[in-house]
Amino acid sequence: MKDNRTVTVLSVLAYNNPAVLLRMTGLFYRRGFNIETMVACQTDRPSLSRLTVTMTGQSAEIKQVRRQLLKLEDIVKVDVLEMADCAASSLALIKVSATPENRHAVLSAAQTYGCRVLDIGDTTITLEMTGREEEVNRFVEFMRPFNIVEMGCTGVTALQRGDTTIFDGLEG
Amino acid sequence: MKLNGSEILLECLLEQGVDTVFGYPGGTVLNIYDALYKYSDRIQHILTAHEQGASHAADGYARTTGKVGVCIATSGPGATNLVTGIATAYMDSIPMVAITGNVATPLLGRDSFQEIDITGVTIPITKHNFLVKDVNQLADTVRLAFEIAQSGRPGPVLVDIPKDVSAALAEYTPAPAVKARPIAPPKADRLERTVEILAEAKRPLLYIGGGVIASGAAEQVRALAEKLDIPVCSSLMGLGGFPADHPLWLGMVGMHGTRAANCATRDCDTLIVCGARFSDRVAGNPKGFAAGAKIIHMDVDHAEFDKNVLSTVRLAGDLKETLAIVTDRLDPACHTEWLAACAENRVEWPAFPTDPEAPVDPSVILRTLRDLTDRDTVLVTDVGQHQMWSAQFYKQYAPRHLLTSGGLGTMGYGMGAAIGAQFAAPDKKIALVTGDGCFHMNLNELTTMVSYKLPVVILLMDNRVLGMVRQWQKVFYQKRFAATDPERQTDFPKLAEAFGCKGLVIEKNGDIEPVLREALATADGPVLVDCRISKDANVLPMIPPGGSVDQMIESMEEYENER
Amino acid sequence: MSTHNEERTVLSVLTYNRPSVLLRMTSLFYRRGYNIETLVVCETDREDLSRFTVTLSGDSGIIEQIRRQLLKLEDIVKVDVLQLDECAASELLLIKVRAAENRHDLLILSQACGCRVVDIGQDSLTFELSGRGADVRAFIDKVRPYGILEMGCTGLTALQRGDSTIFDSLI
Repeated sequence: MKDNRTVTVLSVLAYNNPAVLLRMTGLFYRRGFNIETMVACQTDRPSLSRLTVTMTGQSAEIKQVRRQLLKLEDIVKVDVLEMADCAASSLALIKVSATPENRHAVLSAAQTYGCRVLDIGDTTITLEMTGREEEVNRFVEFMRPFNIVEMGCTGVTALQRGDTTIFDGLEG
Repeated sequence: MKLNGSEILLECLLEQGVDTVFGYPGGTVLNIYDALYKYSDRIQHILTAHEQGASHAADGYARTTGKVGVCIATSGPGATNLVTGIATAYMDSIPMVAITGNVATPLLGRDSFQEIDITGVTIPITKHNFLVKDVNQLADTVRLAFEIAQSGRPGPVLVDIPKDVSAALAEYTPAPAVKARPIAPPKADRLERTVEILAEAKRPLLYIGGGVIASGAAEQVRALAEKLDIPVCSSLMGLGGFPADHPLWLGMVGMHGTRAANCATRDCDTLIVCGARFSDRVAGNPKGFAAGAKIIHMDVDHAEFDKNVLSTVRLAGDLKETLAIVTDRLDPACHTEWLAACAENRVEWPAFPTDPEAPVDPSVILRTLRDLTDRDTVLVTDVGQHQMWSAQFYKQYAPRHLLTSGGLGTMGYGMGAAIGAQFAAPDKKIALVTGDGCFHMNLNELTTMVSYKLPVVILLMDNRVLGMVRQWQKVFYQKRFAATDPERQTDFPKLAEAFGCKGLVIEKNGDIEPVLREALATADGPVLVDCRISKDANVLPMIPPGGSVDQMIESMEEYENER
Repeated sequence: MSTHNEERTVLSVLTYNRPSVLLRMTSLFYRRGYNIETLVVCETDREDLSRFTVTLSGDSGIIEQIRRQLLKLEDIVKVDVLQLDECAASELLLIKVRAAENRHDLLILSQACGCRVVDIGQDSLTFELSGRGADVRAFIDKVRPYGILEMGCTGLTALQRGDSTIFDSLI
């Protein structure tokens, strides 16, 4: 969740089986690959899952990661994309302190950034922010002075811009 | 004081009171072995023939003493050779610290020579593991490994040390031995509920497991059983947790358990489970196990509750403490009728055959061995028919005198474990009961016993077949004996002699006592006794997997006739 | 999106921030055959701690078993078991839909559902939508007739409603 670096997105298509996440995590751990985020989801095809990994390594390392991933039996395809070429978003839930005095300020900040209010507690407000990672980070920094009491982020999911999809070039 | 990583490691072992380690040297542990050379007056290193032997030896050492066992192996194949031993310890909750070397940190992840991701490999079979990349973290990591290994439910912890870390210098500050983490006492309302249930119980039964041994709670079990007049049965792992000559003892429960114990689990109205986990070898049919009984489950591991069998009350905490509190709060009781009902299911052992020319019966060998050895004798077993015969016929009177791979069922466990046991208890007699299948797996460790002059008595139940698997083929596969009758021609006494070990033979009933006496008298090294038993000897009784006591097979002839 | 059951349980797991934690957790889930629906990881404001949000459906016995098994992992500090409706919870969906002559209809639909257009292709539109599983699923079903080209979802992150946090009662 840091800014100003070239972030690479690995869009991984894998057979939908319970071991895939374990095999990928094991590979990253064993080889010492440092990933930033990883999210997994189903696709519209019942047999396939999609895993989106972001990382900031050198291109040689990224190639190595890709090649190692492709050796896993469960993995069908690995697309290496620049973050800039992707529609990429993540989501953050931020619980900030909100006393009666500053509640208004919190809510108007939320409005400025176009984020949703998910919950209002006695002394806190929970906001949902979505967008490109840097936007989300900027918002988090902006809210910091209000005192963030807890936060949860999802990691990045990304689709290549334009009409291309992860299924291009697949048979069947 | 500045020391290198290897010296820091050994200082930390000394802090924990370790004076014996089992291992095998290699490239990435050269630094550690160099330090072992320097520390040889304080830490004894036992070289085994194979890393697997070292891991089982550390396990046997830990089971005998209750202390953390330590083994060392080099990276790559050295580390993977430990895996079976670590898994064995994990399944039986044995405290162990396994130390492995690894390639230097810049070489990690590159498939370097003898590199393996042993922390990745051992995640499912360790309580926890560490890859130490900074020498400044080494001392605290080793201390933490010991703390984890012996806290709560014990188990193995692996510490992987890259070669540059074992060479690098760092400041070493001595620290006292770590202690097991405190265990929260059982909850008051649950204790109350337990006391209520037990006070009302008409047919209570104690079912003990390895947790009783780990917690050192044998006396507390006995106190509860005697005060409330409750019969006791045990899993394989709990044997020794209650004296087998006690009138309340019903025997082992489960697949090859006694009729009395298994009937009691069926008929009881309250089951008190102490450090046992309803494994499939005990509760073949978990839904039907102690059905209708109230179940009070005592365990230090919260995750055991309701894993296999649902309980009425869950008492999380140290067994010793829990049992003491419960016993203290209850009034003495009598369950004469229930005990009499249990006693009706006891099956007396047949008298010893008197014909000296009669073929050798394995149960007679084990019963004779029991008669000839004192109560301090530690019995180690391998896995299979001989293991079950040992559990059935070599009575256990006190904890830590039966070493057997219960959870993982590791064939080849015995040789290493017996070595560990003999180093743990140099003054005790160590007897290993093995089979020809198991012995063929790790007989290489005979050389270790000879080198160190360990007077282990090895009773080899030699039926020339893989007996337990063959028995299953007999019962469940219409006698299609696939790969269980290998027609091996090994001459075991000669093999023993080739290693520099004495070899003896028991061929007929009349040999049993004199040969066992001779074997037990051998003090200057191991002795192997080739006990030539019939390949058709069976382990009985037997409850088929998934079944209950009502399907118990007690005679193979009857069973075959019925089919 | 990855759920078919709103009776979901959320496990909010606080762990030490170490590279092996994700592996240890996935290994545990795999080995014991626990079926989880989503798992997301993020850092927390405390440098030494990470937060995992796991969602799953299952009876309370299984969930309690999972909680106990998780707590046995050395790296895990705390496990909160929450019902989904006790949480402020969201996941995010990116979905690329075929859009040619019907582009206008799609834009109106997306607006009505409160989602953003994040990319416009020759023959496609990519939308971003956030919300709970049910909202996200409903949107997917609405655009399905147009032709879904691909989609990506983050999995759910969740905070307990009200003022309590995962850090409460930590020492």
